Amino acid sequence: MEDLILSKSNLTPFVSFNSQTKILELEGGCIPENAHAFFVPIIRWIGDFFGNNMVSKEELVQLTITCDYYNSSSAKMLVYLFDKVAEIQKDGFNFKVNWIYKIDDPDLLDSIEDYVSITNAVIEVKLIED
Amino acid sequence: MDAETVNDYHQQLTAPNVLLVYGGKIGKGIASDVLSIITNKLEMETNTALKKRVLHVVVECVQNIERHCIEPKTDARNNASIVILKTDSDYVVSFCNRIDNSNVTGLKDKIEKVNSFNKEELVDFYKFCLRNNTMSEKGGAGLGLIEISRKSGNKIDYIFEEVDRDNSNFSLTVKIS
Repeated sequence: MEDLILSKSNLTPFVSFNSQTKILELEGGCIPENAHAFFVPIIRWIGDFFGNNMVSKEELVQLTITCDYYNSSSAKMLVYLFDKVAEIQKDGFNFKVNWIYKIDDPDLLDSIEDYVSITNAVIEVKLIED
Repeated sequence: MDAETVNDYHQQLTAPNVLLVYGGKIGKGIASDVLSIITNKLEMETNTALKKRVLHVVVECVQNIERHCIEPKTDARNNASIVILKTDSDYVVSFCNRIDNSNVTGLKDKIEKVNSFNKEELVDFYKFCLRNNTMSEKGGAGLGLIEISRKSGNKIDYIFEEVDRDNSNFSLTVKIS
């Protein structure tokens, strides 16, 4: 399966989904004009990766999100992303999602909690010092 | 116009409380330009949470205009303007753009609805919309005004001013504190 690599832009984060290492990274602010167009390939890649027997249920797959800033249309697309995550986790895959946040960012922590309650995805928040 | 009158503009624009004044087209790609200007201007702000809220509101406003603004047909005015000011304790973000008269009532109702909620109700409404809204053809999720209100922590101030039988100017002002 081909990796998904998108370079960082002024409006969109760096994306690196590696099917060999099973490390998926999303890093940077996300304020695309068309959030739908940006997120659909990402959600589809994850669906294909777990759906096409690319990974066993025991293998650890890790998605790390380092994004402290996204627009409201991306907020909606993140719901679809975490719906997919929740579905995969419910199927018994070892799919861990970490969201990195800084201590002085209470709004982001609230937003992550919103996603957990809305989608039932398991998202671990990881605090880093600024 | 004499130099003194022009100088008045300079004085107003270089006042320490003026972060950004812009009149012109707000088209594709302008969000990142406005954001980088404001990010620079906010460098002195030590309250990082407040800084992020200001940026958030600005982006939502710019992208709302990108999606919904129409070109003025009847006069040569700029199609949009932005004013961002800093007062002692808070920031004021204001946007004005031209909209179709047929959209005035719907937009006014949406703002009034958001304004009617207290803080907790607004969070619940946001979460409800985040879960249940669908993406529009224009790429919006119907969350922009709720986000603007949530991040600002204040009510949204607005003015609709009818220009002619087709268009109105719509201005939105929020205080972020």
